[in-house]
Amino acid sequence: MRRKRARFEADMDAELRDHLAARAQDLISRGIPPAEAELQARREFGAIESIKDDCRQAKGFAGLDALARDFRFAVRVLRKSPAYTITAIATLALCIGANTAIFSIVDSVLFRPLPYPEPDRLAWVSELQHTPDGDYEETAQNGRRWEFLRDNVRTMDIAVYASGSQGVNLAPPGMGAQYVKQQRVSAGFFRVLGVAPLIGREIQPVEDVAGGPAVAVLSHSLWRRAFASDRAIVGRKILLRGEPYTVIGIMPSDFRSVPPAELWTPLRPSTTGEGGGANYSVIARLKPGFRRQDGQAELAALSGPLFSRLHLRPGIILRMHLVSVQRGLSNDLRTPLLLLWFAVGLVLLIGCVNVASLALARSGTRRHEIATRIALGSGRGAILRQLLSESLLMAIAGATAGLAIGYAALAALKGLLYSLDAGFPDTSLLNQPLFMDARLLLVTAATALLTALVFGLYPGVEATRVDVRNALASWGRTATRRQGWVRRSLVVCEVALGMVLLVSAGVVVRTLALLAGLTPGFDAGNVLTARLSLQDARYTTAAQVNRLFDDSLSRIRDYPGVEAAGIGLTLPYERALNEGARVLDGSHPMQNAQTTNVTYVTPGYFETLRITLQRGRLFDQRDSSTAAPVAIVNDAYVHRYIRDSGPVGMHVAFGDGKPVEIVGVVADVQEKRAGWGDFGPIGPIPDIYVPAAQFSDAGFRMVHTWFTPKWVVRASAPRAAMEAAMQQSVASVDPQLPFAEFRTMDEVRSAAFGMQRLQTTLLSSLAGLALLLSAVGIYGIIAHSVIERTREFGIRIALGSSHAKAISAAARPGIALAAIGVAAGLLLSFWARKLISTLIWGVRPDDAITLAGVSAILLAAAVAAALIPSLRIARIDPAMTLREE
Amino acid sequence: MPTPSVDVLQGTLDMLILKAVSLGPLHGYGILLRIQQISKDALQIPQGSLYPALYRLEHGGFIESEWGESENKRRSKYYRLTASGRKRLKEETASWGRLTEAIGSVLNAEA
Repeated sequence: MRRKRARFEADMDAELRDHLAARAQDLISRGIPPAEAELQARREFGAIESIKDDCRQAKGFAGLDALARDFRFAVRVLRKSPAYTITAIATLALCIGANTAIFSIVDSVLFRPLPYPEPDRLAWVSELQHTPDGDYEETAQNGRRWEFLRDNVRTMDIAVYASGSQGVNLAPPGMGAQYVKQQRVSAGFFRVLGVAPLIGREIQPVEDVAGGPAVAVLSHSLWRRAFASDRAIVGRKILLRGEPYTVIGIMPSDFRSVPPAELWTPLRPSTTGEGGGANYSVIARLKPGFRRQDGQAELAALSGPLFSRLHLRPGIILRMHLVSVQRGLSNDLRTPLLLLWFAVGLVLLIGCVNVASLALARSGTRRHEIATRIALGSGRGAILRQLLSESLLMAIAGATAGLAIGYAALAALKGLLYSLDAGFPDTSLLNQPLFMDARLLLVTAATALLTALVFGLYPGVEATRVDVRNALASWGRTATRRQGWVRRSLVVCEVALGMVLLVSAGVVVRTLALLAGLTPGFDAGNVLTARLSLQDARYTTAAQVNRLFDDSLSRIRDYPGVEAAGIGLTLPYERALNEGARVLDGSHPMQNAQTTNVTYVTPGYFETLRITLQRGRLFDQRDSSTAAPVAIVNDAYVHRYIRDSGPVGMHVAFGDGKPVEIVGVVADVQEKRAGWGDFGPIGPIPDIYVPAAQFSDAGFRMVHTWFTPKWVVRASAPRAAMEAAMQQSVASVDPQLPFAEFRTMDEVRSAAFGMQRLQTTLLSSLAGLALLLSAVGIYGIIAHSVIERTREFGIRIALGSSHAKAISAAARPGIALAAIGVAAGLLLSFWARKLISTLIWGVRPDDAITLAGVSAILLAAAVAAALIPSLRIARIDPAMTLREE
Repeated sequence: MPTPSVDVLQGTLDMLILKAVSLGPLHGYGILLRIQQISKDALQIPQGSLYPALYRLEHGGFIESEWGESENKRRSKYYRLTASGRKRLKEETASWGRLTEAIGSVLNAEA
């Protein structure tokens, strides 16, 4: 086709040349001089390019040809004004890139169905608390609730699993002990998800009861890593959690549980201990023949008998219902992600406005060209098509570059998110892998196309409305009033939207600054921590656990350079165990237990972290299992619950337990919000510390299924050496115990702000982008008006106005537009403050300092953007202007 | 110009081209000259409009072309009538004859 086409063109050219030569020769033979003859031949022939077009059309080469020509012409036009083209394409690329990256995350977390068959028939049984303050969704269930559901639900196949997943110790044959992620699930868990094991079978009901056979299902990756993909491992015993477990199945390689795990063991649900609290999650799959409504109706009907026994505060209604697994999983992330999506959408909007305003400004200068073309007989349709193909070309270029930017941004985001995951090893933010898929490409392409239409059509329509005579006469010097008005409004919108983003970013930055600025309450320097899973058959009694603690600590303390070492159930900046406790004496004794954080610690814990002792004493060897029970409380506990001047010597009790004497008060450390009280994401939360030596057998067993205790060591030795030393010390006590997740206290601290830091990074980048775009928008409008009004300014200067006056006259409208935009933005952010309030803490969404700072930044950017192009006026030579007149 | 010239109607140009090449192969400029010559300069064809018409006729299979050497030693493209072109010329001539006759009889009718 292409070769045929090329020959056609060559033939046509040759034929027409031949015609002109023959005609010229004819004219020469009539006595016309050769040079004159050639010209006359051409003149007689007519507009050769348009005739060629007619010929092509006659030959049927027309349709595609016109398109190709439009695009060729568009490329030429765009190349002639590189500044405009680059600005517009860069704007589009940045907007589309940012949208692609953010949408990938939104899609992965909120939209993409989980990788199970018929995901729409899969759901979580959750509890909706309807209160006067709003609705709360609670997916956690206790053992009694599970038994009720198991015995009564008919429309769904249901299964239960432990909400938290913890690392456990696996000792594969011929390898060192490993810390692997375990999930405890009930019989039928895999059946409800709809994924059968690749090899073997899943957990049976007889294995899912207390005292049942110890069995395990392995993930494909663990099977490959620890057992070299040996099929014979199924049916054999492995050493897990300190006791033999029979491997009964291997899951397929593409199976992922939520949260991700490498190993599944029977849950053995109960109604006491773990099952006494809301530590379970219930998943359900609709049985064949039932619809989602049937499931919802059944749960609603069951809610009555289930909740009638509870004494609820008036105004609170509890109801069981189904939430999609996706929705349930992403509950915490939903609002921040949707907000982020909204923000990036705003940036795209600003970008489109910007490009539209640029195109509009340019269509002003192109009026003359367009008028000329219309005067020469070009149809308005053709002009419109031409302008649209320019826009489309830019949109395609922008989308391509945007995709590249999006890809890079996504890679960077992945890094951020995974580092965040490392900060919360027990939960994963990303339940699904993050990638760009075909749907994403589609969304991007649609964004680009829509953008092309938005910014291509308006100026196109506007430009073809040109009054030919007027435009030709005025030689493209003035834009119409109407156009000016539209462009100015666009810039105001842009600034206003940018303002909303900047304010949001501002308060989020201030939240992070506030959280990061909190006094930690300990000295993080030179402190290394590591965790060890004690959900282990060999550590079921307090005596066993404490022997491990004492022996490993005494060996670690023997290493040169170690200043102090200790063990605590949880660390500062982490989420701690919650328990009910009562203050027994003093001026405010309690009738009922109140929730508090509880942490067991060994002697040396406070010393290692250098947590200040305010009163009384710290724990030491005196506080043995046989001694009188003691506790240390923090300032926050004293402040919230004891409210008495002399807490030392007073008593508290856990549940109905024995009185425990308070022997000391320590300063607060920052802890992570633990689902109770009205604390910030991180704050000084009331805490009772108890000696590990006085913790009960049952207490250790229960807390070790949810928490892994942490060793803390303060040492001057280098980190790598210290890690090896700690690993060695524990291995010499028990070779089957592997330390996991070595982190310095600084890392623990910074991981606690991971989410806030991510929000801050993303929102500030978006706000920065918006600021840049707004500045470009103002720059564009002023630069353009300066070009349009060069003549006017020249005359003004010729008539005696100073350059400075002319410059300020040119720049002033830009600054005025920015000021209007800022005012509008303030109103808009007032409206948006409810949205943003979920992301921030300790800062008001209409924080005056933020508003003032952001306004100042925007106005400064506007002044710069308006002044830079106005300075061109300084180069105007009034004499030249007058001569042009 | 001694004789008043007439603008050639769209459509009649095709007929004139077919007639011109029916007398022997011609290149584009030759076709123009032939038409002027036959009509004794009465018909003026805009030079540029000849070629789209030629291409259209060739595309329709009424004429075919071939590169050859002209009288002035230039390479020129020669057009000749095809069988279907000859048929079309016959039809067009007949219908043109009927049309002019009819119009003539209308115009010459006694009022």
